[in-house]
Amino acid sequence: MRESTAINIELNGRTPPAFIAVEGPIGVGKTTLAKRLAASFNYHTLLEDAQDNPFLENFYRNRKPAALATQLFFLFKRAQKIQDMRQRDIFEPVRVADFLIEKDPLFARVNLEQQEFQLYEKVYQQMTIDAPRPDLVIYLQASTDVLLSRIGDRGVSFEQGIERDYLERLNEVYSEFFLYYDGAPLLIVNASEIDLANGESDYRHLVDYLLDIRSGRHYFNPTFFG
Amino acid sequence: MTPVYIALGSNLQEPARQLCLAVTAVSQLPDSHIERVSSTYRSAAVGPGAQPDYLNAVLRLGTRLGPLKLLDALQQIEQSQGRVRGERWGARTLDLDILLYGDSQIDSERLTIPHPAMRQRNFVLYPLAEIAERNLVLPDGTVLDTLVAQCPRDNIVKTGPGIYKSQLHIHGE
Repeated sequence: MRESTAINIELNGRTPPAFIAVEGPIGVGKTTLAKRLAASFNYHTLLEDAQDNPFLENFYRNRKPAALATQLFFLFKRAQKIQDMRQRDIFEPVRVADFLIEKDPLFARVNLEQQEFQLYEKVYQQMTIDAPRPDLVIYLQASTDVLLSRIGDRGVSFEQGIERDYLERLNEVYSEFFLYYDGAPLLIVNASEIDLANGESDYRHLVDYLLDIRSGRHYFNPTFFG
Repeated sequence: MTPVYIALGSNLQEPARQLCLAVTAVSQLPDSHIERVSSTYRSAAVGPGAQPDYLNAVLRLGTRLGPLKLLDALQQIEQSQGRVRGERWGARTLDLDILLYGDSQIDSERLTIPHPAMRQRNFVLYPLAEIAERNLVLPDGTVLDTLVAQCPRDNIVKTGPGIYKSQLHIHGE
């Protein structure tokens, strides 16, 4: 799908990263940012459409019994999306995704009982997921309080049952994962105090910043810009 | 480049998040690059009152910044992360301490190196030993391994990195 509400961005001769993956916990604004970037760069989006998981509503109501089904559905879906994308690669070489496949085992570790996790690992290891390496990973990061209030604001009914403890644990797992992540150039965005969904200047600032990234870890913290 | 060891610690505002941001902020210091980051270690807070657990780690930075310039930069990172939403300057949520600065011994008003408290603290010594060069000797001749051997591990628990390795093939690696 190609997004149409483009915002003019000054590239000044800079080439945007060909494949961008946006990551972060529930409610932080991954999909919104992915769509916005796609519009700015005239890219295609690769969205995981989490709400299409038929087990998710039950999962948020009562996590344990629905965890394995929810997890396996996500795993197959994400692997499928990556497979489809590889097949279309020649025709649609540039895109922005709202997930990294590596997130899948992170959720599994948080949500599954030990024996379920062992089963999940076997399935995961049987699958050959040939994922293209992103040219830039953007990790949107916010405090649990901010996530809770954004989940409240966007008002998806079955998300309203998400418990604070669960969100806190997810946030922690993401932080630890990205503390050591070196699979691609990484931009960590302190998204607690900026509005990337509506705000014009924060978004422009961010795009201008990411266009200069070629390697390594970077930190976009708007509080530094005062 | 001078090899510098920096201890990171947090027990407020989601410590794992604070350390993740801190490592990234340190990685952006001028004339510097991070060479290694230890695992994270969790430990119960000591002292009176019920405090949340601490999360600690140590990183090794190669830098051309002088010790006081580096101290200034680290304090700026501490302050920027210590800011609590809604307050102008809230409680500090991050500590960044210079443990060792090459072979230097510094004893000034603002800075004492080696860090005076590093000799007895398990949550500093264990992550430091994990990433330090082999047979590291402190400027006063103390061998790091000896300090570690004398320091009980007690209640610290290694928590990170815990990254799940799999059959995942990332194209281009």
